Amino acid sequence: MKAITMNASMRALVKSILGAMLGLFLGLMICWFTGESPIKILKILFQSAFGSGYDFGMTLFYTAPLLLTGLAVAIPFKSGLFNIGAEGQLTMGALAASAVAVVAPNVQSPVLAIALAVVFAFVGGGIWGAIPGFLKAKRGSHEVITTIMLNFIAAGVSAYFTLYVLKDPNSAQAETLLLPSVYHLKAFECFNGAPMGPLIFWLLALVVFLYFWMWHSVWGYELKAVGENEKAAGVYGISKQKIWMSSMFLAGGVAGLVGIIEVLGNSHRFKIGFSADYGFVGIAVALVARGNILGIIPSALLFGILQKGAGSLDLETDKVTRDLSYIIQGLIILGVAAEGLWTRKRK
Amino acid sequence: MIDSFIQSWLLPVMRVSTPLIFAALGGMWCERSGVIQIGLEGFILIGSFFGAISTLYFSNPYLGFLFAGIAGMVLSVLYGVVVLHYRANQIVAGTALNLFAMGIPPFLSKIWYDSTGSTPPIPTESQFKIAPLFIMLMIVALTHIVFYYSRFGLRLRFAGEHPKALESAGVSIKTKRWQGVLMSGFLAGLGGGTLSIYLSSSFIRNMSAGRGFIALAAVILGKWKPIPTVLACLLFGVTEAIQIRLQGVVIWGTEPVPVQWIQILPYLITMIVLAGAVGRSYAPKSLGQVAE
Amino acid sequence: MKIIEFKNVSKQFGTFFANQDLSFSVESGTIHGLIGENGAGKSTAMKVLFGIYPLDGGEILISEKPSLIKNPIHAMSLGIGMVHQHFMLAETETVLDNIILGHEPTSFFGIINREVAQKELQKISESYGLHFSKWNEPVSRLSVGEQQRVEIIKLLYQKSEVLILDEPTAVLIPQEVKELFTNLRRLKDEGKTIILISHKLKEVLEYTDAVTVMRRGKVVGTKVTRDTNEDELAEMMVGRKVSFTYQGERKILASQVKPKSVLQVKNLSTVKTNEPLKDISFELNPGEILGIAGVQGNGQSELLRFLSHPSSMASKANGEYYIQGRSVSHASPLELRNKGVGLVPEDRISEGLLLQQDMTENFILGQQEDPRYISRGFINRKAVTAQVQNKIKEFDIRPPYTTVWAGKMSGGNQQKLLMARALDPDPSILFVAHPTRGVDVGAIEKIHDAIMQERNKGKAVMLFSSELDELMDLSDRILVFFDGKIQAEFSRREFDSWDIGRTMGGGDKAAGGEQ
Repeated sequence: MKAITMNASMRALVKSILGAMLGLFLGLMICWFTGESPIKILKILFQSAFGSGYDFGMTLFYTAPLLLTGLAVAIPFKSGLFNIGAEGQLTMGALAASAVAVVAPNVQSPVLAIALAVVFAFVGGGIWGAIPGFLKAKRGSHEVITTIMLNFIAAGVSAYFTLYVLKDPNSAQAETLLLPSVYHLKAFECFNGAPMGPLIFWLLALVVFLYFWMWHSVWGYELKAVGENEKAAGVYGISKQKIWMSSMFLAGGVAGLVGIIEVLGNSHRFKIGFSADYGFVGIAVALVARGNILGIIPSALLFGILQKGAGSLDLETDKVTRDLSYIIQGLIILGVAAEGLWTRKRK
Repeated sequence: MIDSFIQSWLLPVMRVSTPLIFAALGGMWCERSGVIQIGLEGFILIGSFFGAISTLYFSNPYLGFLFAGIAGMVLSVLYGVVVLHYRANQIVAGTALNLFAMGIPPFLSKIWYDSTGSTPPIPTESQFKIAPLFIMLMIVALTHIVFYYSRFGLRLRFAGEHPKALESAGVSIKTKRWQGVLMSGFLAGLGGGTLSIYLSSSFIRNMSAGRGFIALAAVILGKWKPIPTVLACLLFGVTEAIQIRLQGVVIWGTEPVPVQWIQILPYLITMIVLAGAVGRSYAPKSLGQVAE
Repeated sequence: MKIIEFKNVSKQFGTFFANQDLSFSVESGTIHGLIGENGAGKSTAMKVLFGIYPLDGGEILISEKPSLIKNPIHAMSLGIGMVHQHFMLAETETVLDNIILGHEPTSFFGIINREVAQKELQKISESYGLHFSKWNEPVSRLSVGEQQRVEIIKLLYQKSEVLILDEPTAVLIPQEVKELFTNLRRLKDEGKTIILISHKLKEVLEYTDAVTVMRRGKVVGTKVTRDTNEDELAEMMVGRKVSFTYQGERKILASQVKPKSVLQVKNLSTVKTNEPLKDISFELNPGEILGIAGVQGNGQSELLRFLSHPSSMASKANGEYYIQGRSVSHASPLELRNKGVGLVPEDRISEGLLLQQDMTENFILGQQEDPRYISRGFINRKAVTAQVQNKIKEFDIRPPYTTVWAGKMSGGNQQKLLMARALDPDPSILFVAHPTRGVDVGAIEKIHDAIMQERNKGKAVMLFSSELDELMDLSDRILVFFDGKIQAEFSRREFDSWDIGRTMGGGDKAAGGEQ
């Protein structure tokens, strides 16, 4: 018998698709338990995601942050680090972006304004990412633990700033000052009010650029070498410290750009708890993409659809709530992560 | 004087530490068997939900408490299957477990109580007075003894420290790791139970509020040893008690002390300790490594 | 009585026979050597006996009864125990707990009765004369030799009758080796049977009663030790008359007549390290191979780490290091590379290769900033691949495809790839460590040729090796390391394995090279 031969990336793709489908299937089967037909749920999910211009716009609005958090997990992963901290990094990025309203309220040029906000968001998230990178490099502190801790610290710090430093005195909500209109991003007309515009193309371009950068640059090579065999990389003069710090800074910065989507594109201010767990879903996005940077695009879209679609479950069904999306996300991750499901044990 | 100290500090600290201690001891057992456990948060959440509804159902907090543990254990079976049998990455699977667990209570409470994520209050007569505190103390003592003095503890420790030695001594690594995983689910589930039926009187949405991660931090601070882990939990309990005490208290100026700074204390302490390079050399040698 | 007998035992991995029709037997109450080159199938045979691998053909008789050994536990119940090359001891746990694991005496509710256990261990230690009593210390505080003794006590505690030791002397210093064999003889006198896996002819000749030689998965023969000699065993192992001299050309170079050193190390000492160096000074000349000899752990690894990556040892090393007269005491590997240094690291798997990357990606490692492979700021993989294709031909690397993962190549071919990469920028100084460790005979010759060619071109080569024969074959000069110091220096005309061996054990060099 001749085995079907596939190259490694093809096999990874097939495994991802199988795992995601299994997770989705199990999630829908759980609905059966409530008396709702899984087919109906699936239909609601898709109609809600693609039904109208507005729906599609919202789907993209949910997809966009996942592109970034997917990158924020996938990039350090290539250097052997597990970034569980995208949630904290995007929080700090968004907080920093909202701070431009206080720091530079009188900027006239929209281009300059947006560039300024991008720098703030990137650096804000970047620093938050660089801390665990630094601790890992200099002190050997495990990045999984430090990033988890920093998620909570970011929540506390951002809450403090929102309530005490950047607080909007005219609002009863926990939110910061409204940004001047020069900072507001345009949305496409055809999305009928869904807050997503040309930004989505910039983000896609960023993914493609990073794909290219990771594969062709010397830095990308060094990153891969450290991730693959840090001892050998060290013997040949590649500093894992430098790589870990830089990759975590980049990851944090990219996650921080979520702030642009939310603060500049949507609410024009920082609101506590705006993130729909984008940082954690980003782990799923990167996982389903299996480390392939371009694969993050379809993977993020899948989870974006799920996020948007689930929102309609409350209205369209009697018993199923939007929280189903958590269950399905969890199951998809488990389905994709469970290596042993799709590969026979090697002897 | 002493009475008031006990009343105003010791008891509150012990009370708020109880869920942490249950979860942290569970996490410690699991990690010492060689399996990373960042899913404690999920077990706590599931435990507190099922603890509340089974207390309501049986009108008996003890049964409710037991079912809180069982619910956590059932969820840990899912984790064990994926991680031990299908060799999933333990960090990824733990994260997935937390997401999954977040969806379950609102999903079920919608069906059973038509509410999104909270349960009806537990009547006073079926609430706990102080029993979980004693159960917790018993579990701490039992953990210490079993961990250091029993055959079970010795073998489980080797599963995390040198699994091949364990295997060559004729003991299955997988069995020990399964036991560690199940214990983490059960104990963290009990911790969740104390949240909903001891520290409050109903389940509310996302009730765990990061306690699973604080418990994990306590395991690290406690260098994966039972008594130090419990002490770390008590330390975090103190910060929580302070935070409750300082809510709205004006110390200087005109504004009350921002609670946010106190809220992040446990995490900050853990970061500082980790930055001091404590922790890495104490972790079980084979933590997270898949057994062949 | 034949306590172990192999009858036509075979073990296959895929289409490859790791063991083919093995037949030999071990007499009860003897020390039996099992020798062969790396990859000859010794360890596989013992793993079959110990139940780690199921056998694919033939049968094994234990105490003259056919036995189908299902797994290691079963093997242990049949009285077979094994001391693995990597000890099965948890460092943070106590000696006692490590030994009793799996066979703990308990009192009630599974509570361990450590007093009973300790008494029994003390009894074992005394009755076999093993002189051990550190039962309650963590294993991490024991020396390697003591840890090995703990492993042996563990087998005795488990009531093993046959003790298999896999390369037990690889990690020991000479005194410990002597002590080990004294202990093993005592065990033999008490009626235990010992199977000794080794590739060191001398210790096998000295300490065993009988010896079975393996080659390429087959048994070549079994000899009574006192009826054989080193030459015969060596010939059986390698399969041809072994010549202990390198056959290739060794040119006499002008630079040797009037040497002008290209590399100097002066008063190098290190602190806070595993094997600290103590006041090392030497020079390296063009057109010579300088051999670095010594028992593992006497400072050679540390020296190589310093020489190839001084910046990583900045806080630990004191001393001067010059290349072509310029100080490089704090240089990075890339700076050294630009000064003409090439490196073949100690352990090709952990220090040399990216196993899950193809040959091209591996070839880039360390050369990622080489202008030949950069165009417009990015790595030019086409140029790299073209060069790898040249090197595949030049070094006869197999399989000859640039897309093969390094992890899927044989040890010899991996080593050739590392040589090709080190020589790619045409270095004038070459550090080569353990180039033939675990490499098949055919590849060894190719690698030795490549090293000698560099020497003959007038390059300066430092060869680190634990194989004394290899060092004596190739080197022009040998420095022997012991306890972090240069114990002795031998020029080629002084080479004498007995004399060098003695200095490796800490002895002094015989005056004038005479005994």
